[in-house]
Amino acid sequence: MTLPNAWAAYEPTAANPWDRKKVGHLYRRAGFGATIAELDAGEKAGPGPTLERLLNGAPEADDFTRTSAFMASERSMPPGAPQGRLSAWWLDRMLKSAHPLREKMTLFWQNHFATSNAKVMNARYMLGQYQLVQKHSLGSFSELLTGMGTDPAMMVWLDTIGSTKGNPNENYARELMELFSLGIGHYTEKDIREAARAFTGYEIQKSTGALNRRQHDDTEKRVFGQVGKFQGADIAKLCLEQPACPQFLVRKLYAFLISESHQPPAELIDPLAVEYRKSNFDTGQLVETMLRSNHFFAPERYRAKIKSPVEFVCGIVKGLEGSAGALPLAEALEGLGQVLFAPPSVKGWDGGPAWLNAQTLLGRNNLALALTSGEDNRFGTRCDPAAVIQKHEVKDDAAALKWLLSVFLQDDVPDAARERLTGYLATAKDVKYPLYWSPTDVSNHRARAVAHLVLTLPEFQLN
Amino acid sequence: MRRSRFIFTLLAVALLPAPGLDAADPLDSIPASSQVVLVAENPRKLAEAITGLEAFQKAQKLPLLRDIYDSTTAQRAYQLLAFVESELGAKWPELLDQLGGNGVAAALEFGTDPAPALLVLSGTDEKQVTRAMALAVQVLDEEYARQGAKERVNWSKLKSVDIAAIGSDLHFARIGATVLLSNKLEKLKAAIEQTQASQDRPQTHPARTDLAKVLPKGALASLWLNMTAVKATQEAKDFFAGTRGDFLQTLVLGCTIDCLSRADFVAAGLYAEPTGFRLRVRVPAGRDGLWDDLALHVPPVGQPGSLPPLAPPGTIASHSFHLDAGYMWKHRDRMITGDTLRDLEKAEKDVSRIVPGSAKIGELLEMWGPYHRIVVVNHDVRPYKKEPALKLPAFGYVATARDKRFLTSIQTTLSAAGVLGVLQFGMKAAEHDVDGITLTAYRFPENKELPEDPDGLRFNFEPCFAVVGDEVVMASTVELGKKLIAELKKPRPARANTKPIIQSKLYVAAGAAVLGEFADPLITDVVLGRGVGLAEARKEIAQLVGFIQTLGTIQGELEITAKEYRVDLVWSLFDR
Repeated sequence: MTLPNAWAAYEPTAANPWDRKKVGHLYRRAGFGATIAELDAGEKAGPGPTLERLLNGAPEADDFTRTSAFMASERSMPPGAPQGRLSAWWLDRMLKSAHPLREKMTLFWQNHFATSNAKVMNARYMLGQYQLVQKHSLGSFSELLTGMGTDPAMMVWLDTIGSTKGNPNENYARELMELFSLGIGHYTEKDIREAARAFTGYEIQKSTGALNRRQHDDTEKRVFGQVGKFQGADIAKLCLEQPACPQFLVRKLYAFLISESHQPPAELIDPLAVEYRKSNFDTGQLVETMLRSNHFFAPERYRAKIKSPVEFVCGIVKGLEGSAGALPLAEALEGLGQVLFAPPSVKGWDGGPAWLNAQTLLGRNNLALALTSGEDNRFGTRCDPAAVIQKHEVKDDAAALKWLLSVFLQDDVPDAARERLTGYLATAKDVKYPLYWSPTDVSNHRARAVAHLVLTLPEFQLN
Repeated sequence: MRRSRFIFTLLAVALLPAPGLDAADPLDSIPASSQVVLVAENPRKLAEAITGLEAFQKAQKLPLLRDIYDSTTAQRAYQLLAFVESELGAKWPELLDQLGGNGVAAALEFGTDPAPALLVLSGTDEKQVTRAMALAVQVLDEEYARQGAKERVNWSKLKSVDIAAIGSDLHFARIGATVLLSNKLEKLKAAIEQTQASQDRPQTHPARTDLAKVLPKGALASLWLNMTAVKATQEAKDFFAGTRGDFLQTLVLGCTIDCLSRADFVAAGLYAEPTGFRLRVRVPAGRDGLWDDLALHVPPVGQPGSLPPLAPPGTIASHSFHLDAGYMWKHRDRMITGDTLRDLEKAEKDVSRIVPGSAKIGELLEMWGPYHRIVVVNHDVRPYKKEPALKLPAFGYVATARDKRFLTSIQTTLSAAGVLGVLQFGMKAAEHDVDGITLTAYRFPENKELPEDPDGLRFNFEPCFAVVGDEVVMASTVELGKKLIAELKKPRPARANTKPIIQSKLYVAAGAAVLGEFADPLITDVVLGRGVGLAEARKEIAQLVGFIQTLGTIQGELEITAKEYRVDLVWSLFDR
């Protein structure tokens, strides 16, 4: 593909048609996977309406909104609420929200600002940060970055609360430039020291960040060559004005939505960065450009990412139309290396190949088994392949395999893998089952076992 | 199905001519080397006592347990049971009689990992036992085949007894109507020899004689622990040797550890009672020979062990015990060592400085009586309009005085502490007249922020105290203080049992109200834990609270007689 039309909207052609694989690709990147109905509808509707549906989402169901708010209330989620409950609350939203792209982008920004409850130790503050991030996840990054300076969770995480006149803490100023807006090489140590003075005197009052002028250094500071009696919001504004800022953010979003292995050339990034700045950092517009583009639907970008644990788990539950509890799922995610609201460091999760190693692969295998076998008390039969296959009136083993491959891999599997799965079903028919098993038990068992095998295929680990 | 019946019949026929007579008592099959023995004389009676409970039946209907009942594993277990009932031609209660009607026993031997374990089922119907064993072998074999496991049932022989083995961890054999199962082949062989020896020359396992010595007949299940064997282990030797030098252990578990160190065995029996169950634990070592310093816990002969537990309206838990703090202080140089003693003596000097007018700790402890009562009670009305983030029930403490001067000294000390509360937190003092008794109380202002307590936990407390006769009442709320004064003014019940040195009672139904206070996080955990909707989760928690309200009370007593250490736990379902 030539660079000039990389960001032009994708139009299906005979050589590059709109198909089920592209629907799956879009739902995986812009959401957390798809149900069979969503795949069918997307394939039938074409790229335009499908993208509209994902970009705009649907209104949240009243029950979902009410339940999520109840669970986020102070009585249900007090400051000392266990990490598992906090993580599960967000995972529940990812599984049930009618606007999965918004949750996905919230995940992106939460990892961008990488605040961990392991240090903050306050579920109320973490939920407050979630609300700030979610509000601006597809909106203005400018407002998000400014708001982050007085976000209580961030103030605890990067020690703004202990930063006072005469004793400034540089942590927030440093990460604001290095990790949140510019990247290494676009600021000096002096910029950091000066900016740190602008962030002195901020305190948490009644769960809100506020400036205590007595502790604030209101003398002049020189940052990026500009001089003024800057406060925190002024430093955020100065960062946003730097040419490196849109470049840095577009590259990061490119890695998240399109490819983490491909290093995009400047010619590819520059047009988007220019537009991002022109739009006053309208993230929704940037995301839309990326998701609609030829580049996004190019064959090289297909399955070019490794699923994060959250994407792996949500993809299974959505595909099986299950109602597995988010609490045991969130606990299982820890074993796979991803605890929501608790990234491992200020840099967030490494992602990409770091998601997979011998231990996490075994963990994915075991979790897939626990979800699909119906024999694990954490999940029961709430995510039962046999039940969903029956619901969709799939009659025999061959049809069941076809259905499972369609929903999870859009039927795009190597011949060898398909043969192994078919072979398993053939041999499973000859296995002698215990006498007390009914014929339905036997066929359900085969359906669950083959579903587990599908979920452990290498292709299913890719996004 | 026809083919399977044929295989099953063949297996049954092959297993039919097993030799030997019934070993009626399952303990006759347990080698003397076993150190823990659990026996149910009549498993059907035990099973029916549990399954017949209203609480058991209600528990099965709880949605919180529905996932377990609906799980594939549980469904398979039900199918297996139905299959076994169908193949053997009897329902499970009858099958329990046929296969284990003479008793079921389990035994364990320490030393190696995994510990050798043995299960003995002594049946009443040899034919059915034979058929059941054949069926079990067949089902196991098929299950292993389904799983693609390498293991299959292997057969061997010992003294004309067929032994079946699956892998190296499951071995079983039948002698007459007795089935033996073990995780170790050597253990199984020892059990076979023991069973055969018992048939030739009746033997009595020490568990049988020891249990009969200390427990009444009629236990649904009994447990015997060979303490001689336990005490021979190095870990136990180190533990018992270390107790006397550890003040904390002496303070908390001194009597229990001392009695165990002198006993040859521990026995426990579960009994059905008209209103529930009783668990009796007996240790054949008591007050005779008790280490001197344990006078801390045990009163002189002839004096009450403890006072009857308090039970004001709304009680959740009540605890009454004997602890002679004066004795501890008097003998502190001997009982308390190192830093603990230094800290205590420093605290004695410091407290009177910090709390002006208060008595010295040592003087107070020596005057303090040995009978203590603690109670946790639900509120009728919350003490403040402002609600704390975490709502706690009220709790109170009643102390006795050994010396009348204690009553004055403790009041002075508590008043001095109250002054600190007034100065530091702006609390307001008030005096309430309760039926002629003065209840002194301190209250936090509701219109003042306290940065140290952002969650408003202080709004659970309205601390108060009063003197009633020769007892001092301290309570976390005025409401409870008043209730306790009323309790203490009542005449002591004539039938009150004062022998136990510890008496506790947990009112599970009242505890359900506490659970209700924490409903929102529980509902949240149900939604997130099981993926159900909010309305369903609310209903489930309401059902759980309703179920807990039917669970009655759990009462515990510890009595130490001259020769015996006795613990009784009574679960009474109709005492609500």
